[in-house]
Amino acid sequence: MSNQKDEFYIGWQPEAPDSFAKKSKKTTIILGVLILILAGAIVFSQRGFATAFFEFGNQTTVEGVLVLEPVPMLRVNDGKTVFGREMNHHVLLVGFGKAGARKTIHDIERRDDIYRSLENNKVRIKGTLIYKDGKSVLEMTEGINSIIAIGGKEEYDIREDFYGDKTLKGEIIDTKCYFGVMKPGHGKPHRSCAIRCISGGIPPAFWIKNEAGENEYLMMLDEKGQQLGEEILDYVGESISICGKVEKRDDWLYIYVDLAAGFQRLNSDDKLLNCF
Amino acid sequence: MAVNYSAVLWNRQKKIYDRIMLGLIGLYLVLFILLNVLFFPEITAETLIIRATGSCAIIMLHIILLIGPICRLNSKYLPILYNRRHLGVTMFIIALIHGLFSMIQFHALGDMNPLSSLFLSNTHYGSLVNFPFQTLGFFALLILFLMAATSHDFWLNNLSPKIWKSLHMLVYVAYALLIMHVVLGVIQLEKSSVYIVLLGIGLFCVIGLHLVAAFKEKRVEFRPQKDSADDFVEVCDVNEIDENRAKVILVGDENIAIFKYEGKLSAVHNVCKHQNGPLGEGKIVDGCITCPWHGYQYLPENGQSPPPFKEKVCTYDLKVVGSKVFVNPKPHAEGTAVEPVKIT
Amino acid sequence: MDIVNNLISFFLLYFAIGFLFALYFAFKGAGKIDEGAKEVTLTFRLLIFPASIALWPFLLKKVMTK
Repeated sequence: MSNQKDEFYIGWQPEAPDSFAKKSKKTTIILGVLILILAGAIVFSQRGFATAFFEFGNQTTVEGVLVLEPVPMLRVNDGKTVFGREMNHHVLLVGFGKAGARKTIHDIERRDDIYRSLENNKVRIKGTLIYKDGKSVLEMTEGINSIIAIGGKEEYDIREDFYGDKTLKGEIIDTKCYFGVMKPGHGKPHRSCAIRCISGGIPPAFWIKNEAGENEYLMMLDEKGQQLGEEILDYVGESISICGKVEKRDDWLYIYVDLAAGFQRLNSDDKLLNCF
Repeated sequence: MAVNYSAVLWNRQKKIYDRIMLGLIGLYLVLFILLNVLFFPEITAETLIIRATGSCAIIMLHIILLIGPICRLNSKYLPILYNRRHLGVTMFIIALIHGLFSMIQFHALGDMNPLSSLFLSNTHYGSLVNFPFQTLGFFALLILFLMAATSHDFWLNNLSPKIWKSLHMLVYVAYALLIMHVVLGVIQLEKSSVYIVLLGIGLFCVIGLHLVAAFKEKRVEFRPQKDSADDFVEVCDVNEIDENRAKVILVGDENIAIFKYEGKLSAVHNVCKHQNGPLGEGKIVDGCITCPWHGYQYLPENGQSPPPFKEKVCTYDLKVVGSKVFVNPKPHAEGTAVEPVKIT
Repeated sequence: MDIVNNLISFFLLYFAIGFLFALYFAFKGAGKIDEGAKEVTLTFRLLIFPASIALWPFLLKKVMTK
C-alpha cells in the first residue's frame, strides 16, 4: 500500500506505474459504458421526425399550367372523375436554396429565346420533389433551365370554397423546409432558417391542427391577396394566433391575414386544436 | 523546453491517450448514427451530423472541465490530465463541424450573407425563450477556437503564461454560453425531460467538483504566522516531510514547496513554469523535482531545469533548528543557487 | 442592422489582415521572437498559423519591438 502511495506518474516515461495504469483502465471502461448510455438516452429521447420527403439528387419532370398568383404553382391535371368533372392538384413551386420561384420564373421569362409572360402557359418543369401530408412542392433546382418545354396558354376554372372569417392558432412555417427539406423544419431551432426562406420569397404557410388533430396548411396572403413576407418575419416559428378570411381554391387553403388585427403570441407551444 | 519546437512531442503515453480518446469518440458517433438510422430513419443527413457532433462536443467539454478538479481530489487520475490538450483540440474540431454544418443548413443560400443572417434572422434579443441561441454557439466556438489555436507551448511561452492562462480560463465563459445555447435551442423543441436532467447532472458535476476541490485545497492550505524576530517563519517538523516529497506552505503571497531528499532540504516556488502545475505535489525523480502534471523537471538546489531546458523557478532560504524547519519567504531571483540545508 | 453588418465587415477585415500577417509570422516572424521557432518543421508552422491570424496585433507589436 505504501509502495502504491509512493508511485509517481510521469507522462513522458514509457510506462505508467501500476496504480495509475489500473485507474486509467478503469476510467476508460467507465467512460465507454457512460458513452453507450448517453448515446442511447440522447437518441431515444428525440421526439421523432416528420414523414416528409426531399428527393435530393433525383429530379422529376412535372407537366401542368403555370399559375403565378397568388403564389407560384403548377396546376396539374389528374384526369376526370366518373361524373366527367376535371380533377386538378397544385404543385407549389420554389426556387433553389432559400429563394422563392417567382424570381426564377421571372428570369426564365426574360431569357432571349422566350421573352414573354408564361402565366397560364402549359409548361414542363424539371425539379426536385418535396412532399408531406399529400402536399407536394417542386424545387426548380436548375434555375433558369428548369422549364424544359413551353406550350400554349390554357383557360381553367378554379373550384372555390369560402369559409369566412376565422381566428386560428398555429405556427408560421416556410413551405420548402417544412414539407421535407429539413427535419425538424419548424420550431425554435429552425426559426432563423424559416425567416431566411420566407424573406427570400418562399411562400409562408400557417400550420394548424383541426379538431381531429390532423395537419392543415393555409397559404398566407395579405388582405389584397398578395403573398406575405417581411410583414410576418417577427412571428415565424412560434405558437401564435391570427385571424383572417379563409378560402379554398382547388386543393389549397388560403388565409387573407388581417394584419391590422395583429398576431397574438400564445403561451403554450402545443398545437392547439382549431374548429375547422 | 527543448531548443527547437516540434508540432507534437510524441511519446508512448500520448499515443495511447490519443488512441483511447479517438476510440471513444468513434464509438459515440457510430452508435449515435446507427441508432438514428435504425430507429429514426426519417432523419435527414444534415440533422444527423449536426446532432451527433453537437452532442459529442458538449459531452467532451464536460469531461474536459471535470479532469482538473478530479485530479486535484485524487492524483491517480493524472494520466487523464496529461494530454488534455489533444482532447480540447479534438473537441474544438468536432464543435467546428457542428457549427459549419449549422451555418450552411440554416443560413447559406439565402438573401443575406450567412454571417449577417446568423445575427439578423431571429432578432428577439430581448426575449429569453425566443433568444437567438445560435449566436451563443458562435461566440462559444470563437473562444474554443482561440483556445485550440493557442494549445502549443510556443504560445504559452510567447503570450506569457499569465495571458495564456487567462485566455484558457475563458473556457468557463464558453461553457456557460453553450449551456444556454442548448437550453434556449434544441431543448425548446425537443421537450424531453431527459435532456434537461442530463444537462442538469452535467452542470451539477462541473460546479460541485470544482467547489469540492477548492474546499479541499483550502483545508490543507498551511499558512504559518510570521515570527517578528527575524525574516524566518517556522514551518514544521523535519519528520513531517516524506523522503523525496515536499510540504507546501503559504506565507503572504508566496507559495513555497520544501523538498526533502538525501538528508537535505531545499525550497522552491510551488508553481511550475509550464502550466502552473503544483510542484509541491511532485516528487524528486533522478535528483530533479518533477511536476505531477506534465513531468517538467527542476534541480532542487537552484530551481533550474536541467539542460537543454531553460525553465527556472524562484528559490528560498531555509534553516533547521533542532528538528524544526524555518523558511525565509523572501524569494531569490529565479534559478538562484541556494545551498541545501543538511538535516542532522 | 447596420451596426451588425459593420461589425461583421470589421471582423472579416481583421481576419484578412491576420491571414497576411500569419503568412509572414508563421514562416519568419516567429523565429524572431523565439529562438526555438527558427528551425522548425512545416507542420509546426501550420500549427501556429491559426492563432497567428487571430492574435496579429499583439504579435505584430512583439515582432516590431524585437
